[in-house]
Amino acid sequence: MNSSTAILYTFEGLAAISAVAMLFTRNVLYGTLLLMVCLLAVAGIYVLLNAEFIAITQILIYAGGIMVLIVFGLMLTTKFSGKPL
Amino acid sequence: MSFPAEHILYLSALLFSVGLMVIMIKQNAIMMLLGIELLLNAANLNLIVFNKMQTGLFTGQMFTLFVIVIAVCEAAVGLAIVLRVYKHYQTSSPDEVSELKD
Repeated sequence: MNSSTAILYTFEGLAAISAVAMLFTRNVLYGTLLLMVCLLAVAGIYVLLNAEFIAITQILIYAGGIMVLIVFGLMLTTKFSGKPL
Repeated sequence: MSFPAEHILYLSALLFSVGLMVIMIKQNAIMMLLGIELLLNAANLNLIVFNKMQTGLFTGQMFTLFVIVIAVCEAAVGLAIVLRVYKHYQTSSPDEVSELKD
């Protein structure tokens, strides 16, 4: 097993573990951050599959745009300690 | 097959099923949006793997760009709907929003 296969397995394991952890967590903010880790790992897999443009697009749009937007929406729709924000 | 990539297809199937479970099980509307994003990423991963297996063309990558753009638009609209529903019903759980009219 050479180094590129080892890195591929690392990214795959990271994506799988963070996705399953997102399924089992009860905190929505933790789920959002775990999904961000999963999307960055999938972008790493894209680089190893010779799709560098899609990897950069994924990091910019998904991890840099959509996740930030979802955190905004999360902060606006969550009741912390009984009072709305 | 020019690149032994069955394990990436297994990962794509796992991400798809995890995303579907997140949509079905979670009781928060924001978690449903996260599950939808995971579904679309699993489909994108599948497309890129098959693009790698087909040398010389980049059809899979172009289709992936289309899927990313559509996912962005639908996430923005879904988030707007969630914010509106929260402002009206004061809850972000889709189980409690069970009547269509007020």
